[in-house]
Amino acid sequence: MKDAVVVTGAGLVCALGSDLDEAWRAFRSGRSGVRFVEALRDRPLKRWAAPAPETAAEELEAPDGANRLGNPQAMWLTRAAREAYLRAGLDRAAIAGEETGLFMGMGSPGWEAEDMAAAVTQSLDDRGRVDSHRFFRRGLREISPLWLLGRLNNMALCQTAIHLGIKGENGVFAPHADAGVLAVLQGIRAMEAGRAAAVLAGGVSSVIHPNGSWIFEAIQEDPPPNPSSIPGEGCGVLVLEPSSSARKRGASFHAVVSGCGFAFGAHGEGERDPRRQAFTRAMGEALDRAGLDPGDIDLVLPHAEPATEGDVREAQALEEVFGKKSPLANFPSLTKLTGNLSAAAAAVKAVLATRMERRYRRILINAGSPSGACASLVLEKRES
Amino acid sequence: MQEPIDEATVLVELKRAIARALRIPEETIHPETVLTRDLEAESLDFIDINYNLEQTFGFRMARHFILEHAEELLGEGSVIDEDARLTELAVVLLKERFGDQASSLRAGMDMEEVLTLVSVRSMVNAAMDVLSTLPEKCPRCGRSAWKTEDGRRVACGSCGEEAAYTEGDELARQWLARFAERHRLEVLTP
Amino acid sequence: MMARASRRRVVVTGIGMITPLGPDTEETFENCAHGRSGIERLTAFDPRGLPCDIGGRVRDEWLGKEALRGARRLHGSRSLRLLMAAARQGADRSELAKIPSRDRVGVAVGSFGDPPAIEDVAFLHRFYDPAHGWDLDSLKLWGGYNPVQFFRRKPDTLATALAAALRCEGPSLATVSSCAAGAQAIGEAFRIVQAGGADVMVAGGSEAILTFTCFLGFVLLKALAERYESPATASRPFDRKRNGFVLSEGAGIVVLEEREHARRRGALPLGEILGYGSTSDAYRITDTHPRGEAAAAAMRAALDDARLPPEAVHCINAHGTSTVKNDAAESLAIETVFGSLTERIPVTSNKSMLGHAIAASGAIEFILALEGMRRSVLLPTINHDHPDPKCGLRIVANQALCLPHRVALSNSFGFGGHNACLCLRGGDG
Repeated sequence: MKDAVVVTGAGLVCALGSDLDEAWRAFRSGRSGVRFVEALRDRPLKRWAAPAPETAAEELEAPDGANRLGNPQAMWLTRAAREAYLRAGLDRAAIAGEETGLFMGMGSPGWEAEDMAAAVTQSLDDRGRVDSHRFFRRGLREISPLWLLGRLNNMALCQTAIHLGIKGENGVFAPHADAGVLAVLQGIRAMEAGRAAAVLAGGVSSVIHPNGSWIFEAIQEDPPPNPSSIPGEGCGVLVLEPSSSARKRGASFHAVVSGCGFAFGAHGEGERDPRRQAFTRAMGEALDRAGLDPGDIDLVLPHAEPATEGDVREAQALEEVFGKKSPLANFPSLTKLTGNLSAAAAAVKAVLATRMERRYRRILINAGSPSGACASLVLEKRES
Repeated sequence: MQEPIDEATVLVELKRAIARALRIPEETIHPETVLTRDLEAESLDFIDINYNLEQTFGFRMARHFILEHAEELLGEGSVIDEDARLTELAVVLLKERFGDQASSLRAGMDMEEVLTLVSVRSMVNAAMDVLSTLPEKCPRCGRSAWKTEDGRRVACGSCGEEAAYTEGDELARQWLARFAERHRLEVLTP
Repeated sequence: MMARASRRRVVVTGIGMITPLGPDTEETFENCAHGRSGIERLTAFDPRGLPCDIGGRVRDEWLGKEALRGARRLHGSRSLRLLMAAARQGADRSELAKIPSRDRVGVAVGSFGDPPAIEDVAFLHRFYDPAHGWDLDSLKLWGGYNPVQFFRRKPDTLATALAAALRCEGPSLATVSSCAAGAQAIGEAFRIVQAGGADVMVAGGSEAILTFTCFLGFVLLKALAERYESPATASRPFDRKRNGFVLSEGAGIVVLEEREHARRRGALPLGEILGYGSTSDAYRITDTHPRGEAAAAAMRAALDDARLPPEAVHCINAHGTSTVKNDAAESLAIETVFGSLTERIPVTSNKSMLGHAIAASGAIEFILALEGMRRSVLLPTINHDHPDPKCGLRIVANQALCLPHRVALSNSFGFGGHNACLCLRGGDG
């Protein structure tokens, strides 16, 4: 029988808290991380958002400072990965850095026009257009040399690898929720093939910027709109290991990742809507791998709320797989509490799911992307 | 020439820039501290530190090390041989430029050794060299009225024009020209 | 550890590329075999005043044929057009469209992504004052920031567009590991087919960052070559005079297919991926590890994955960027893995002719290594005039070598310390 993939550690940063305990308490009390934000990291924002707590961006004790590039993703990931790593006891385990893998879904670090605005201001000609000579002679010096590095999506992963000494197989995928599930799957494959003894996998959200994707939406001052359109910040990390080796080193676990599924469906219409089919296929594949029937699932954490276009398709797919009595009812929407976490969405849900009550023994988590990629993950509660 | 910015201020700002770049307490940084050997600075750190100094004082530090300029001015192989090692001339040059700090350098040493020359003191000296190129008079209004509000940025007290210094790379080239003259070396025409 | 899951074999049934040296694999390979350089003075924007004014640009007329339709035209960017040009070649070669089960066909694309154009920043700065921050109300009156500009920047735009254009309904992923992204896309796609997640994966990378903003980013990092006699001689991997890399653009795509699946439908393999290794330096943000330990580990991992000993390798397509540090560290890494074999194994760097196309390079170089094996030609590393004693490798210097060879390693090492190595075999044997 195949060696199960167990979760020996989990870590989290999101609007609900800077670590798993804090976020879990907030979740249990129904507190939401969504609020109307006037300013974020010294910049005016004025919209509904669920930003990560400022404390999560504080520098860690480590000398290599995840804050180096001014990229919050590096700080969240280092923090959540460190939490998961310590909870899994990897600091005491005889697992070498070279045998530890690191796979992450990664949102966009974004870019701030401020980084270049001063340079541009100094480079305008009499007609108000950017003059390249002036830019290269004077304006250029206003831009930090670290700017480009901060724009690379993979830097957060690299800084985390440096911080924890993780040198094994790695992959960084972008930028939506499905990327986080892919990270988990590729990590599992690495272990199944004997190329890693343990893997840290999960996802990191995009960074909220005034000139990010949200800027073109009307600057929102109304009551909060659809939760899926509210940006959230955060990161979820799982430590995954083969159950045999976890047992051997005395690591405890409470959950197993038993199946993952993937599909892509370009937008379309009608009965044979490709996106709806993609959701159905992804869920089917995850259940198959887990060796479960739809009736075995106690809880579904969907990708998005109903009533937006893409979600109607997910809702239809859920009905197709689970029938009319889809196991969703009466469960608080996580997206309403954390905002849309892009590449971290599925990972954060999975981390919180490891804490949920016994009656939610088998949980299916969906992840989608506006582009049409769909993924599904099955998490089962099992004690070591 | 006027020198509205003093060495103590430069040292304070340099320590601050190093501390921020390397995430270390300022108290651990001393004039003799060698950035690579004592603080494990990497190339990104040098770029970061220089940028911060440039932002603070409004000048431009050298982008290239003196030996690179020497190879251009005096010819390939003049200071760095085929095996990427220091020539006799390189040792003479570096000793004149860096004084006591270069005392352990020998011909035949690997190029990597020269990184040990970059200390807090040498960086302060380089910054002071640049700051000392402040012209007597403001190029815009002709007055001798330089002043500084914060002890870092200099502007003309008469017309407000920001001070413009000679760039670090140009200063290095000028120094090399004088070195070549002193030692009667042939220089390549640019 | 877990028992090894059953491994499916993965062959290459399609290839395609577009580079500064040609609109396809054939022309690029020919020009490379003749030691020509694709590097010229930049004309895409005015670089006067910059310490580096050269790059490898794809000729616009080669792109002219790549018409974009509908939504793709709306979100279309140069990197997408390059990608589609390469992908169509690969798809045609492998007759991808004839495969019936589209949910078993996926895509994997690596790209840094188009950076904000200077025009975007110039527009936005009107609403920004360093003292007071953003004037969002005025920005709103002006209609906000065109959302289309944003969509161009998303890293998954390329993968999504490719999947939609080629009707791929299986796994879809975008890798973003900078210089290693193209190789990682191929490596991850290889894993997916190997493990049965798909039967076919269209994988590769595309990059079009010869723009004002991206160029200056690398200039600020002092990563680019600044001392060169001519554009064609600036990229000099493993040469003592090297002083930085030359930025270029391009795209490379391979069609990876499970071996039996290819055989059943009569698709002829061009070669096979035998193994993939991926590691992290976990050392510094930009500096590579001076001893190249993790790079050596990646090569070893690729060989282990291929179940081959070092003696089985006939040539190495190096990452060879022409930076002082990378080439030295890579040389050490190769010596660490191959020991006394080092002096016999030919090593070459295509970047000497094509420059560094960041995410696209891993894919382009993989294909050139594959083609080299099929044609028994080892491509040269040009500008190799002063061998660096610190790089004790057998470099294929300046002229191509005719030599039958079967197994190659292709290296790609990214900023931040990602190391990816692919082990491949050429031919259909």
